[in-house]
Amino acid sequence: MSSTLALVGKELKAVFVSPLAWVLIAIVNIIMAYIFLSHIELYIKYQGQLAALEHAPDLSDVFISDLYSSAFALLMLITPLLTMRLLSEELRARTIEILFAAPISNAAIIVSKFVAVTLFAVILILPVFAMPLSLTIAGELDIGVYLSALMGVILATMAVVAIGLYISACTAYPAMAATISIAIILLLSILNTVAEQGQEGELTLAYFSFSSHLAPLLKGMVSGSDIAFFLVVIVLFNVLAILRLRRWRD
Amino acid sequence: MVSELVKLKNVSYYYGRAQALKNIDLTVNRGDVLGLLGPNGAGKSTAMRIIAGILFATDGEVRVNGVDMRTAALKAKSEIGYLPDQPPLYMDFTVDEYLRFCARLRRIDRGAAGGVVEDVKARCGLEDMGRRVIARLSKGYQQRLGIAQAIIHRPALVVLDEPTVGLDPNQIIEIRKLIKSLSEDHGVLLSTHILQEVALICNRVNIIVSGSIVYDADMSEFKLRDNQHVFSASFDNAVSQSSLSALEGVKCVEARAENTFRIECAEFKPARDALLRESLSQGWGLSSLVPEVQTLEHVFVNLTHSDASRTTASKSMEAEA
Repeated sequence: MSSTLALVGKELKAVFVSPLAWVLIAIVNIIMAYIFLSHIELYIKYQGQLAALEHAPDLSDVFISDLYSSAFALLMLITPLLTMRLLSEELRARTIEILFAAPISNAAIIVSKFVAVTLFAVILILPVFAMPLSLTIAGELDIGVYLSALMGVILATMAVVAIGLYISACTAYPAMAATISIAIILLLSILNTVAEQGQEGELTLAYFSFSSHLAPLLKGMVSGSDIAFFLVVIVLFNVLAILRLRRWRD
Repeated sequence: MVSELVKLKNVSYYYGRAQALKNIDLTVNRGDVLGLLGPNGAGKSTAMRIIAGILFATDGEVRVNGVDMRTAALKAKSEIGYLPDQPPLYMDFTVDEYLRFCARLRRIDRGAAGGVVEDVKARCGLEDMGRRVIARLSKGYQQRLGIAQAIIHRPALVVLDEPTVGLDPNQIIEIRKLIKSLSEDHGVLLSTHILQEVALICNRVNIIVSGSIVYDADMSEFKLRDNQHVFSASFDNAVSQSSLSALEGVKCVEARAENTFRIECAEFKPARDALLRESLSQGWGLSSLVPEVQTLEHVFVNLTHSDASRTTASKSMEAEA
């Protein structure tokens, strides 16, 4: 356990010593702050008209779903930049040998890297999580919706990290790992747009889309099947990465 | 306590279809400094990676201190420290950060890690380097750091893959001294293609050629052969083998080429004097008298050269076919 924790610590340190981490934190938060402020402006502008509606949308409807789906869209693009180096760089520089030679299992290597990048991704969007909370000063926020959306974004991010980690275990070229990861993640997120046009086969495809499982959570509709979908993706790609690591050694 | 630190029995390894190791047997005993010699691509690094638990043997058995590498890999690996041919360093880390990470990776608890790091730095001459970023260290210090991570958990066996490659002569001398000092506390297995290095550091040598161990000897055997008093003598004029055999102190004579003989004697000086006397009086015209010693270099060249010619021959036969 102590060696796994040491690996998590090392990965976090490796992320934070690179300027990329700080640039990403800055960019994500500037973009998200801009989106948040423009939502506030729009809300203020149409507040009167909204109030006149019978089922007027409250703060949670207006802010949380939109804000967090934008946050996840950003994370989808950024996460591959964090995961690309996880294994491919270690394989390329052969620093992986220090891990292989240590009394630590392949599973512990993969899981510690997964945990470290997930922690960093959460740190990256921590201010975004705080943004809707600031609205409670002026109005009422549905905490249930907020927590459900929070869980949705974190689960979807973990799934994206797991995919990126697996791809990083497949190639010794970080740029290649990032490109392939972005392609796969984008594909998974747009599968539902094809299916919206409505044939049966396409609906099956839509089931594998991240968006169709994230959208209900962002609206506060917690369902076991959506949570299970993300958990399956997370476990599946972690296991694939472990198997991939084993292939490097056989 | 098992006397064999490492025992490889019938170990084979395939990279895809290519067989990198062919049923090798290799043993490192407690107190051994074993040199693994071989030309490039012979399988040295593959054998060392298997011993270090980085690669898993396709066939055969690997035991470290009696523990099976396949069934109890984590336990077996805790007995081994490994330095690959390219030291596995995280260039953005400082020396202290890196060693602390290695200590924790080797399951040394947080409280003890600080002391262990200081201790290993002192052993490897890195006392003043703790706060330096690894990328800015010289190649020699990076190599020391590589060795430091390999011994931080005080393993029973240290496996060093070509530890002096790419260093300047002064750095090579320093690293050799360091390896020599390691052998006081650990068994050492080192691979190299520098023969002199084996002669200086090791007490045993294995030669690996094309994935097979073709030679296993104690270094003292080379010293024994130095004292066997075998020499080769050449003459300008014809000399009969029997007249040489009749000389004082000569045990055995073997004709090598025209007027050249291999002479084995019980004691060198009386035989040499008798030979000089007879050569002068009989007009043999002694032109050279060279002590014949079996050196590691002879053995290595013979074993690897014949292999190289075999490979060339088989390639040309394939080409002809």
